[in-house]
Amino acid sequence: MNASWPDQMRRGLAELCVLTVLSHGESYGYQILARLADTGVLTFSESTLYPMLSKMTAAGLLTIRDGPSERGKPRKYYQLTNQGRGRLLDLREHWEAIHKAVESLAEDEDA
Amino acid sequence: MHKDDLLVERYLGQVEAAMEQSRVALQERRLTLSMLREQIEEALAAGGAPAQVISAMDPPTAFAPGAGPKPQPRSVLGLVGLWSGLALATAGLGLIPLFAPHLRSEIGNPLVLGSAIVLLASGVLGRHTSPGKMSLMLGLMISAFIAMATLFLALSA
Repeated sequence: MNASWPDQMRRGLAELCVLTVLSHGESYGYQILARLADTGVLTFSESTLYPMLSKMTAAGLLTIRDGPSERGKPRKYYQLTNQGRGRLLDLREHWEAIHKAVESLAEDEDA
Repeated sequence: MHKDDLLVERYLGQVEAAMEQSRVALQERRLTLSMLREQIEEALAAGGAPAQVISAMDPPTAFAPGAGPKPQPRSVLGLVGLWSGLALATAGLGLIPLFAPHLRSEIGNPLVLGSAIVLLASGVLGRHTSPGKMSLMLGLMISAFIAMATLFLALSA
């Protein structure tokens, strides 16, 4: 078994995590990274998260607006589009189905 | 430009080069660089030392996903030589004797000799690559064939 399976699992869930963070309101790249890292488990590197945000923007899941920052220089704030919200619902549904399936397998083993 | 700014710009330049090399789309490159710049500036504004901030970032190569090895010029040379040599040998040994047997000595034989030269040359130059090795092997086989045919003709004359 590959030793980096937690990494692979996390990467697979990255899009769902980003969309979930943004479902609470707009945010900028570093803030999203920090919010995910705050969970203690969902630690993504910038080389994973930033290109993914760019791809999601290109795919129409996110929009960007230039907003102010404490430093004075404008920041790029990401927001969910309707398409992004739809994608989040799909991913969440799928994730819940997987989660339930794994739980039911564990219950079978316990019984 | 200040030394610290140079450090940041050099890092961002390396990231951009890595992404460009792996053919990341322009818009994606711009957005990624802009987010990296924001993150670095934020860390610097929080009192981080530039060298420390940069070393905590992902290495530039991490931004070049799926950047496979580029085809080596020698491998391309071996491949081109192999196909050209094969084409010449096929023409010289197969097509000319079949469709224009009377031109065999004027055109067919020089083509076979030419194919051996092309295959040997590209084989020697690209000998460390698999198309080059194959080219060299075929070149040697055709050379041996030419040598044997010449010897046979000389002995029978």
